[in-house]
Amino acid sequence: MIEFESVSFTYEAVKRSRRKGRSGSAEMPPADWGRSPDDRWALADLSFRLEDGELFGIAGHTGSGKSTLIQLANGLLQPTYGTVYANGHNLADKKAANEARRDVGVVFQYPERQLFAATVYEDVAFGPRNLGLSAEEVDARVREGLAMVHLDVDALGSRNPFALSGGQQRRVAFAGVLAMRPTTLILDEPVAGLDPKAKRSFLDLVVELHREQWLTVAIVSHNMDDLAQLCDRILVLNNGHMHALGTPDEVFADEAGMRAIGLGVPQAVSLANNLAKRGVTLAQPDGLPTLDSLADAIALRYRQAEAE
Amino acid sequence: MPEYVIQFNDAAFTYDGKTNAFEGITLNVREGEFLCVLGGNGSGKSTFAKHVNALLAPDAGSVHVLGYDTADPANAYIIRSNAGMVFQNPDDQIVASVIENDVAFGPENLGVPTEELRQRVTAALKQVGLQGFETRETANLSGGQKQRVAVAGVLAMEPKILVFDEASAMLDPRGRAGLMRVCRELNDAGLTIIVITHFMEEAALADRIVVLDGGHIALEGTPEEVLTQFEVLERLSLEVPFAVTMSRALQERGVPVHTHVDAAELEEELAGLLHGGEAR
Repeated sequence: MIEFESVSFTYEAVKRSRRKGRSGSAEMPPADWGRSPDDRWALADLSFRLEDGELFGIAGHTGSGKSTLIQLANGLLQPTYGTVYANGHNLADKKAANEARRDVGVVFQYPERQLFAATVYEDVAFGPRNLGLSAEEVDARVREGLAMVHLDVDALGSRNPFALSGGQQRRVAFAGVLAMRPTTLILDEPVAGLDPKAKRSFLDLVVELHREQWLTVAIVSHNMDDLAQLCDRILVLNNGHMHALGTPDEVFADEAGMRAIGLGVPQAVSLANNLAKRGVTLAQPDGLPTLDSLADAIALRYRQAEAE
Repeated sequence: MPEYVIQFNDAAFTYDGKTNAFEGITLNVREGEFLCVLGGNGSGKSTFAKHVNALLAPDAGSVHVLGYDTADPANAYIIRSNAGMVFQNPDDQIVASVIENDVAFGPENLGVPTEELRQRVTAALKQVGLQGFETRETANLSGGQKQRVAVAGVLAMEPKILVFDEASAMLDPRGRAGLMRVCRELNDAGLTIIVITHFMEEAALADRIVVLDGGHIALEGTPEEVLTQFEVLERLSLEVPFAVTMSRALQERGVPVHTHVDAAELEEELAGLLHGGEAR
């Protein structure tokens, strides 16, 4: 479980404290806090809990604070104000932060750009080896990591990762994170730049790991259709502030609000809302319309109209 | 000026001498056309793009840009100054720390005099909606803004053709919409635009779509002709636009709608259909 308690963060405080040569921060926010017009706050007074076993979505356009949130969640950054807990431990504690970096696996954007080793095997082995594990244990972790992303260690282990396809490279990078046996995975736009087929199979893989390995997953995405389909709950960020937090039904109920912050809603929801505005309201007993449920409702309405 | 600004005549290209990245490509692009090239990874899209500005020349057949044969190294200079490219990663394309210097980089290297240089930079930034940003630092821009600076840098060369090689792939929806608006406006101003993309909303804006598969042209036509080819798009592992999938789902359920590419048009037809029923 990861918990953010009234977390605020500004990169300027990092610069300041570096200049003064000390870490840590002031206890209390300044009086004019959060009202400064020049957007210095990457995150402002954010509180939420990522529960164990959840598939959690994070949405927000560029500059909304998503990347800052990710780095706070695994202890790479320290909040300017407020506290971040991972599995109950305050990440302000260095030891806890170190553990969090192991427990909370982060797959950054375009992870294949961080591949560096001469072979697939060596690349995946890098993390486990740094943990000081024995050669046998490292080997087991490499096999396990690659198996989890459906790559065959015998066929690909000795290959140069840069000679693989983009989708495969991304899986290798992903395997490197999984080989650390994290309990929580944070994926920053995991399918950006992949073609539709590779995208589909990567998202299927994430769902499979969530279901079968009991991994807690937070996924950052710009694609509202993907988030609505995959996630239990969604956190929506805008300019560092929480715009919304709730189930897809709750979050996407406010289409105008989501459009105002540059995001939008799933396409089926948008079509249903537009039809409703024209006086065609369709019953959606199961909440948020999906393509199939909306098609069913339209077909039903059409047959009723025909019968009359 | 020849009738077509880009002419591929039975062109083939191989990177390794064994397998062809593309072959048998015959395609003519009219001046002022907005062409979209679709295809999965490895379909030959980027190889195609690199032929348009003579970064690559075909191993067989020929490619002519503005009538110049790309295989002749003597033509590379004139082709490249007329066919600009914008690539995927904004950070790879910014060379200067201040916007106006970045935009001026290309024409300055051509020896364009200072006064004209200033005019070109101002005009280019205006075209991409970044007027007033001249002295801002490039490092503080969003991805979408960086891509527009990259476009301005190409425009300052006063090209006739612009090629966007998955230029929106790394942008968020807002950045992507901004870049597409710029594409549309430049096309309205008379530039020939080629957009290589995975995004169907972008393809829907084009005059014509070419779908590449395994280095061959698999489909070609207007967005309505190409994007409604449900089975083919699925087979080529391309995304099918929402409106097309929805139209098909409704047809399967016995609702007599046309297959639409544009969600607004589908909505229009549905509103009419369902209201018509209620009125009776």
